[in-house]
Amino acid sequence: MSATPNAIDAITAPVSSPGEKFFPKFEVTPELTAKAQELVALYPEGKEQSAVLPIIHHVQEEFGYVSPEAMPWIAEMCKSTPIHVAGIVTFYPGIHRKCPGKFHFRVCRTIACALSGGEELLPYICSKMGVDPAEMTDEEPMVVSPDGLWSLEAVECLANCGFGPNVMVNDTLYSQVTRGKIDEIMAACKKELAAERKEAAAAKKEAAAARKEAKAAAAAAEEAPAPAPAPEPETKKPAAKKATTKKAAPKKK
Amino acid sequence: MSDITYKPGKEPHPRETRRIFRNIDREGYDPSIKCFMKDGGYETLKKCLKMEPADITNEVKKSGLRGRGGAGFPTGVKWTFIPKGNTKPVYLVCNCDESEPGTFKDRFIVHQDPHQLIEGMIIACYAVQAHYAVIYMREEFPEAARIMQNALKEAEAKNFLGKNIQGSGFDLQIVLHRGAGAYICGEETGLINSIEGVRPYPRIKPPFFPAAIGLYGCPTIVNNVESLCQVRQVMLMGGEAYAAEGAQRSPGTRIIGVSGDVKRPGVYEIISGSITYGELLYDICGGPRIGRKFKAIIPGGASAKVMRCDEILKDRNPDGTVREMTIFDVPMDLDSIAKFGSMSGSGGVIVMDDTRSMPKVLNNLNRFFAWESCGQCSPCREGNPWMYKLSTRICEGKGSPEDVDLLKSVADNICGRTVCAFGEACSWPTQAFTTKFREEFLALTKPINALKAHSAETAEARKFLTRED
Ligand SMILES: Cc1cc2nc3c(=O)[nH]c(=O)nc-3n(C[C@H](O)[C@H](O)[C@H](O)COP(=O)(O)O)c2cc1C
Ligand code: SF4
Ligand code: FES
Repeated sequence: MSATPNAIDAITAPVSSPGEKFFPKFEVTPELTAKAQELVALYPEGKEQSAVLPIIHHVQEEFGYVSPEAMPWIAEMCKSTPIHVAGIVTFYPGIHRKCPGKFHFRVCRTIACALSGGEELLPYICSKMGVDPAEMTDEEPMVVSPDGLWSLEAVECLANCGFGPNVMVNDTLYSQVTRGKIDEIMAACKKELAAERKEAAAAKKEAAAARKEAKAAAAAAEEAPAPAPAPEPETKKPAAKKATTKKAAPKKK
Repeated sequence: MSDITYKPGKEPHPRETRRIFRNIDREGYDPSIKCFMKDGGYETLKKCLKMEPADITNEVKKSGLRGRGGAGFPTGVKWTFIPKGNTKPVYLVCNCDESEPGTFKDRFIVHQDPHQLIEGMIIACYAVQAHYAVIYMREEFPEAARIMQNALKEAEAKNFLGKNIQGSGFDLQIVLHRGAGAYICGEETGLINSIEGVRPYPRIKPPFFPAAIGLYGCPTIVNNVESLCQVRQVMLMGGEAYAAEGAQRSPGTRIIGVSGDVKRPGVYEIISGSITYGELLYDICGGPRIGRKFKAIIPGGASAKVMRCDEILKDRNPDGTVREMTIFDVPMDLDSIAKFGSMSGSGGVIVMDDTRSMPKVLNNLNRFFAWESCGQCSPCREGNPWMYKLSTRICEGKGSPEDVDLLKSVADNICGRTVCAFGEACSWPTQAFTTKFREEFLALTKPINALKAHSAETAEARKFLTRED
């Protein structure tokens, strides 16, 4: 067989990105399916396909991007076909096929922002993030830093033209952005990350302590014949908490 | 009205008349339903629900309200395009895609005063008897999406949405649908396709209005956010009172967004036609930055034709004599600027001063259009990257004088040959810039460049055709 993939294979081929470590891997859970069904129910009977964008948005929020594995599932949820979903995913610039960094920067490059110096910010942000501006092409407008913490994309008008240059970081819009403000924003992002890591570490510690306690309890139980309460849920809880903080990350700010 | 105070530094200019923007940047105002109702919110709706739907349409028709999405079509008239004797469901879609560069008015409404839009939508839905409506919001408004979602819940809890609204027997569901960063989703038929979950390719006309065949093949009314808020305003004031104010052919207030090289850019709500472009830019926006002069104005969003500030415009007085003026004397209503070949569109005024290079500005716009073309029709799909390439070449000093004519001719050949109005939107800037600032384009070109190869491939192909000496 020929080694060159056909166009569809190329579209659905996985694109790896350092950003992935900040997001959970795509996985179909009962909650995810329930959410998709809830979105489908918003549209008239028989028009399930309308929910394709809302479901894609939800997948992006949870997992950072739309991975090849997600497309058949999305298709199933909105009674469509994987190739149709691929068609949608490849059309919209706002849908990522590659995982963005933990902090995704969108810099407006359209006229009003360009007049106020938006484009000049791009090389500066690139150098701060440690990415090569030459990597930003029409085919792949998003660049991700090697540590997966940052990603950058030049986008068209963000509809705040009077107050340019405009930059969106995850869900927050910053206007009249200067180099100094970029420094501030990035410092705040790092702080946020440190706080999150601290929280995660504390949760881990808690989990370890709980495990130790459970062990002691089990040992005590062995000595005394009274039935010990199952320690299972205790040890599981912090792990689940860690997953949720990770999940919530892209939605923050 | 006088009891309203605004946040420090955000007070409206004395020449403004705040109606739709009444609560924007208002002290102590938040997007909750409580704030809105304390101020008489949803009272207009209650009044409307007691009227006959056709009477509301008539009232809106009488008001002379014209759409604020760009085309300026009379809203009430659009509503009557729903086929007579229609048995299919009717849908209403609110266009909150706001992606025209230079336009930034709807964002304030959906972020700060969502209930105003919801009330306007319910009134419009009642008038056209739609029981299902969609707010199509651009993806770049994630915060607004949360606010709107919450506002919809609040409205439902108070029975302004849902079944049997306020005991009137009228049912309505409003759904928020988010786009994903494509400009073409602002075009109404592209928007409808986007909601249907297919690629947002604009649909072939006719029918010219989705009011005939729209969402899911049913009659659909598409209106801009500001238009729907104005509908509420019409019902609040009464159609005749609304029509009496402002320019005769485009009454009411207008929200103007000014961006670019002025001292105080921002959004301003004015009575349509009550001030001129000069008054807007000098009195309200504080004039050009220190030591600079205005050079060019794009009067209605990026796709409107650019106007030179030193251009002499000729207008006819009522008595038949000719009057000479400049863009600064043109009143800010929907039609005046159209007489001089541009358009007032969505009210986004982009100003450039004498430090700006016009070819560079055009190049930026061409990149936008090349990136945003949906790719459905060949003149637009191929023509836009071509125009971008040509303007880039000119900006880089690698163009020849013929390239300027070629650039204009590409634009001329896109215009009018496409499925949707994007074809006009993308060619107007190039046509206007290359005509009005021709000397600036030519100054960047060299005749010798016509003989040079512009790419490595061309150089390779020409290897055997040209003499190397
Ligand atoms: C390329 C293109 C982009 C458009 N973008 C928008 C937009 O972002 N927002 C909008 O309200 N209307 C936009 N329109 C206009 C809509 O097609 C439609 O005319 C408008 O929503 C009708 O609403 P109105 O009658 O209330 O003005 C666009 C039109 C075209 C051709
Ligand atoms: S004119 Fe351009 S944007 Fe409009 S349908 Fe054709 S290709 Fe698409
Ligand atoms: S041009 Fe940047 S926000 Fe509109």
